[in-house]
Amino acid sequence: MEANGQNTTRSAQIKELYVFNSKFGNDTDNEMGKVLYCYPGDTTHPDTQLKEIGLCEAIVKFAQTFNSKEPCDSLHTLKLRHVYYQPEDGYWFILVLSVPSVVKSSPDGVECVEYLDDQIQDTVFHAILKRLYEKFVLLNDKFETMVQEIGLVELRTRLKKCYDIWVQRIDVNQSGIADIFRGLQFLPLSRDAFLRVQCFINHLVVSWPQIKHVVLLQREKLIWSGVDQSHIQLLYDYLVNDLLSQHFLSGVDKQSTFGVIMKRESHLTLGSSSSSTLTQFQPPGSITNSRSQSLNASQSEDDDNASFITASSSHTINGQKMSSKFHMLIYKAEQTYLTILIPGSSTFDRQYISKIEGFLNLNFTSIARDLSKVYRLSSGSGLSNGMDNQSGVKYIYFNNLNFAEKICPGYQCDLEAYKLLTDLKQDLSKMNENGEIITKMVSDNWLVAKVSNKREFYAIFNHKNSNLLEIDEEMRKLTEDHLRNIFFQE
Amino acid sequence: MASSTTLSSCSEIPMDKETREEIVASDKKRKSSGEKLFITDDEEASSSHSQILNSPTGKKSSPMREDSVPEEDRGGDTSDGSALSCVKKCDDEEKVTEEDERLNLELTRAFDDISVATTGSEEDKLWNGNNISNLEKSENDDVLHRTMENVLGSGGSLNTSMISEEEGLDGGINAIWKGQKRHVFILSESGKPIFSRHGNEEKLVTLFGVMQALVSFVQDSGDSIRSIRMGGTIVVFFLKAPLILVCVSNLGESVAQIQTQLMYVYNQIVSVLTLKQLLQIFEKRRNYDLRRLLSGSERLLYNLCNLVESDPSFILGAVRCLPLATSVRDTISTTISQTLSKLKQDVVFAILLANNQLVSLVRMKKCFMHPMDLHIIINFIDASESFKTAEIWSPLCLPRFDATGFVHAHVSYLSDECQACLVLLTVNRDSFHALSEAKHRIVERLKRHNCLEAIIASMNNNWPTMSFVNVPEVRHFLYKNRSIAQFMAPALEAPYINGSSSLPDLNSTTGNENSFQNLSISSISSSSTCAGGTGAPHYLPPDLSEELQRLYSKYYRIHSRLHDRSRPVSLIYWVDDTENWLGWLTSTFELYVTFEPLVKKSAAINAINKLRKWVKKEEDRIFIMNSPTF
Repeated sequence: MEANGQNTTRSAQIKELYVFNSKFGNDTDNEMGKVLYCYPGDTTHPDTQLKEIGLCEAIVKFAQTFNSKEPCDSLHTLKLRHVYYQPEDGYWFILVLSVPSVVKSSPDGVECVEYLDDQIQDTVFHAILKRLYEKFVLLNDKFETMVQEIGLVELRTRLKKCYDIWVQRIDVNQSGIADIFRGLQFLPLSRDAFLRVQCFINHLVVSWPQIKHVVLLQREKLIWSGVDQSHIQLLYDYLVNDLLSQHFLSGVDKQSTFGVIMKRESHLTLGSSSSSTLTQFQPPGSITNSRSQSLNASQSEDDDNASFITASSSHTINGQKMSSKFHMLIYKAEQTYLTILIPGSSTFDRQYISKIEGFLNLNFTSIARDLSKVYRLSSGSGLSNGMDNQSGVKYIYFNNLNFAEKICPGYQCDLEAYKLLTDLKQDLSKMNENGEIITKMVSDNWLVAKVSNKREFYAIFNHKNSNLLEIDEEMRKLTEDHLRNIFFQE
Repeated sequence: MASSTTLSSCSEIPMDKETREEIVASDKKRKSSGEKLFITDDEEASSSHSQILNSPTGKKSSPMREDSVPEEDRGGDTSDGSALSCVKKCDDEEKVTEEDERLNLELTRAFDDISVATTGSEEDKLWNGNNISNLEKSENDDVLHRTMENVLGSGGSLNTSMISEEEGLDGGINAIWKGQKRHVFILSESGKPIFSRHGNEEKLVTLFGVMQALVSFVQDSGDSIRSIRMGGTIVVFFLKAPLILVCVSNLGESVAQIQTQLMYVYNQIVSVLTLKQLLQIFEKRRNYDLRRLLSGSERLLYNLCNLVESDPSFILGAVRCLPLATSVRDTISTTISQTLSKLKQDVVFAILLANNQLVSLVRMKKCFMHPMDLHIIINFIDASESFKTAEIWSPLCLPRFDATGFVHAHVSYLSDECQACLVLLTVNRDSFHALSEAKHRIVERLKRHNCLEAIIASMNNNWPTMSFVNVPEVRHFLYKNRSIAQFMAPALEAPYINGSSSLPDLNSTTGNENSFQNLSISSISSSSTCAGGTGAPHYLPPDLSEELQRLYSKYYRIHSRLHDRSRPVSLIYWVDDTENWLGWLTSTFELYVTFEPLVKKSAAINAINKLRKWVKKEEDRIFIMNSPTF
């Protein structure tokens, strides 16, 4: 809250988050049974919780009268925004946000509140809810499976454990188009380097047949992923933003030596479709530290090509989808992280780990050393640093085919422009595969949004006195500089 | 700024630097100069608006006031025996209280006056129909009560299980109904159905109940419901006491645009009843079934819903003018103004319309016509086929001009050949004969000056076509002159109309006439079926070709970006698979352009500058630049 002359602005806040399923707590004695999770759990009165859930149920039913094909996304009221998300049949998320407002007081003391409904963008928070759900599934299991296997009480406990922390990390006011993409950052490698990485990984997988998947990261940049397309986004997000960011990426010094960093048992569930086929993008590095975690990646053995099935659509299928658990080992050498997934069913002990470590000690460290040089080079000539900031251009690139993302730092500096990008994305997505919007904001910033071939490119030009053609020209230069190999339809 | 001819053309577009404040400021200037035809929406935004609106009515309040207390007076002076007795009988059967009966009587006066328009036989049918349907409605009241209780639950909390179990919800809902692109519902704050665009509102009673329950549930927590979104569908609630208006749209409009459309619908109801009466009715009886008072004017609502969808003027908040040479238009205006000013019949506005386009508007000094009011009048004319055969004398409330009272409208078409409609609005309720005479004098004089021919020619002309405008890169455009709240669009051509079906073409005389004829006929027949309690009134939704729908949808999309409340843009250039588009908002105009798909941006910008020059050149013809007064 900031006082601004006579106007006081209140920014958006997360008021409540619910997870519920109406099939629980049907009897009148135990209506609260349907609430699986509530944030903030301590301060929200049971009646409020039930009211909110009742409203959601009513709205969803009402909405079905008019559109039975698409789920209900959101309810807008003057002061609140309710975002709905149903990841599994009957399981609903409700995110309640307060709409930012400006209190204007006129000279004669009359206060009038203006609510800025447009400041909260449904699509952004829908994406955030989706991520909340998927991350929970990754570390635990699908809701329905958990209810059947370990019971409601345990599900509630785990939801609370996860979401109490995660919810607080959401930055409501800075959220925008980047939260929708959740892209991967790749490290571009020369052909030779890539081949080396590929050799190493093949060697690893052949020598240790228990290893199902390998993911290789150089700092936060992805070099190699053996995990299925549909899961890498999630796993990457978890690795980089949860595990590595806190303990590793920044904290551990570069020269640290080999060793087990962490070992813990937890359950990661990776949707339904990962298989041992390696989807490869780019190549790898070396190890120092090892971490073992048991990941419970629900993995279907028999549908190699079932990728792109989202978690929400596959969960209804009964016993077919085997969900095998995975142990996760993370090794670090230099700034390179090697993540290994081993099915939880295979025997897995300290001795086994030592053997792998022996192998990696020989093979991984040297690769890691080379890769860190590559990284330094690539970030030096960076896409975005230096020159772009001076020329007043900010951009975001996202490829829907491999989830590659390039974001130049400081892209959020003009929040209004940043949020408008989400609007433009929505405008473009309504139509067709290809399209372009160039627009001039009232603040004189120019925005360009371009979608072509499943690739999306957004740029903010801080060029006050330009005209449409100049911006078009700038845009051409920008794509030539940074996205030379990507074809954009004119 | 349009005249700068040294077109390093590209620099023209982005150069406009004027801020929104300047827009308001410039509008204010214009306003004070008193040369305007309309009060525009832009002005509305400025704070001084209310004073400006009020002052004219305030000053001339003496003639207005007399008339704006219509209930008591009217009850006495008009006598339409048959209609009266009908109502009485009906009311007896309903055993309503005396007070209600009186209220009902008074209010039906308003309707009587409107129904003078219809021919005798139609009128009888309508009235009989009303009696029967009124009876049915009263029975339905109980049903409504029961459902409401179910939906709300005893404690007033939402009881959702009832929503699905209630068979009534499915009663009026079938695949066709669900497949409609756009629904409009009107209900009272207590949940009484008033109007449903599709389907019979009686059968949708439960649905209305749910809507009311949602509204009041959210209201209980000190909030108010605005919209619900599911994929490409949006439900917009517009709470305008004592009514609740709901629109469900699959057409991709923004919430603000839908709210504007619902505002029109609300104004339409006000225009039949006046705001004063509307409020009084519900003050006295929260549970009042407003359909009793609106019966007979459903056609206005149906027609308005169609117009709002098929005519961009509603979203633009602007009026389209019939293209005419300045000299002809001046002659028409002068003729009207001279004839009427001699009359001393307190005529506030004289409006000549053709094909829903404005030919001339003459106003009393200090009185302004808001485009929203003009659209209500246009809809009034457009929805009433029977006006073509007779002179009409009807009360009409113009919500923006004076929501508390009626003005009286003398409506007549100029001649059989010239289907332009003259609307004379006066505050004097005894002026019918004087105005009728005046109208004949006006027609004679217009004939003498060959103005009728000019109007007929322009109505049939479909001018201008894009080939006349001669900017080959441009397929279609909308140009709104913001200071006078008028816009123009060229005749629709392929691919936006399907060869033979000329219905969507706003310019095409024959197409429009026919389609609206059909609509009116179906309205009459549906009213009588409704009376039998069987079918619901069905107005066919406007039959826009898919391409035209796409065109308008894109314009609306661009419009919503230009007028976005939090993140407005001043210029937008959009390339997609089928066309290139441009939207451009400046302090003086709004421009929406559709280009050929493969046009280069530089060519597009040249084309726009050419287009603007053309508009400038033809300005006198396509717009009414001056605003004559009596």
